[in-house]
Amino acid sequence: MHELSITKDLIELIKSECNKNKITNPKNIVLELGSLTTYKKEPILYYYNILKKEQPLLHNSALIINEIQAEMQCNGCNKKSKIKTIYDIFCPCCDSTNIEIIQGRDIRLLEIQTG
Amino acid sequence: MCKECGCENHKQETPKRTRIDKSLNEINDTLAEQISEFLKKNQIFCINIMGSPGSGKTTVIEQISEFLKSDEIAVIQGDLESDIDKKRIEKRHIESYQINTHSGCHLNAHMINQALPNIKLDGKKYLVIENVGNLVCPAGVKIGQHMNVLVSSVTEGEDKPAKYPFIFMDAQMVILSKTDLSGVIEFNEINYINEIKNINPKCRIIRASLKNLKSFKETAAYIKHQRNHFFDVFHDHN
Ligand SMILES: Nc1nc2c(ncn2[C@@H]2O[C@H](COP(=O)(O)OP(=O)(O)OP(=O)(O)O)[C@@H](O)[C@H]2O)c(=O)[nH]1
Ligand SMILES: [Mg+2]
Ligand SMILES: [Zn+2]
Ligand SMILES: [Zn+2]
Repeated sequence: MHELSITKDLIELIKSECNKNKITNPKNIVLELGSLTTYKKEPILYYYNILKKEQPLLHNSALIINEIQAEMQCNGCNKKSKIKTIYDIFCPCCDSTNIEIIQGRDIRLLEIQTG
Repeated sequence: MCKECGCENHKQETPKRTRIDKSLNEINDTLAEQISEFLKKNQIFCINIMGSPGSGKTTVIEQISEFLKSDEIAVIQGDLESDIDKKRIEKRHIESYQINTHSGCHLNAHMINQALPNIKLDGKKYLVIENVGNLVCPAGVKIGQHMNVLVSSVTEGEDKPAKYPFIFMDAQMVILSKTDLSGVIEFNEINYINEIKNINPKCRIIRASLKNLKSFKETAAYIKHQRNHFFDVFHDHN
């Protein structure tokens, strides 16, 4: 249920971007999903395939979701590292917990492919 | 000839890739940023209060208002239905506005933007927003706030930070509420605090209970401190 509204937002964004870029037959829609968002891949795909039926523009389209692992940057030693789980958010180099999350909290429409 | 349907008049688009690279949160976040700036310009510090249904969010607002000036606070209540919480706040002579989200599981910037013209903000120093009771959906959704407060009650169990990490991750302050009941349900506060520290080491944790009203004084003092910090007002750090 939680992914329904974000999937609706996605469809609105695809429609407006297609309009802006004069795309009439989108094929692959590439989405980037950060590992630290509250959204999961499967429910988004599920809702997309239901909702696209109401959108003639999207009948031939398929959603591709690339999951990306979150990254942090340490405020102590400046090193960047992957965040495997959010229960160990400390710098693996110097053990500092004073870090910034620099990637993985966003959900982005990356590209629209045609043909 | 068209590859899709075999017709002659259906022109085939040449394959191409159009780079978009836009966040799905962008529309909401842009509006949230505008709200945040508007409030800042008016010297109003905006607090987003989140937590499970019944965790004690309205109680916290009622109690901290005893230690902040009531005419300096405005409150927005977010609930699926009813204006029960708005009426509770108004009993304390505090400006209050109710948003009913109906089926919506969290507040968003658009709802706050629509509410703002209906609230008297003159002379206010604090805008307190009580989000919809929910430990999942409000997490990470920007509504123009300058501070996130999570109210989490002992009766929900000490495993909540581990099970619902996202909402704990963003909180500047966690109020562990109803601590008068800790003994009854054998709540292990040490385990709970350690779980939060694992996820969000910078977070301030305050134990609060209606049986110990001083705990709300401490809560109000921390909010005041955060406001002063935000507006860079001279303050002492004790
Ligand atoms: N024992 C005890 N009960 C409390 C305490 N704080 C709140 N409660 C009770 O918990 C119940 C829920 O409190 P509310 O403040 O309405 O909770 P809420 O989070 O605003 O609830 P919703 O807005 O419905 O999500 C009420 O019956 C309160 O009296 C406390 O410190 N100790
Ligand atoms: Mg309430
Ligand atoms: Zn939701
Ligand atoms: Zn480091």
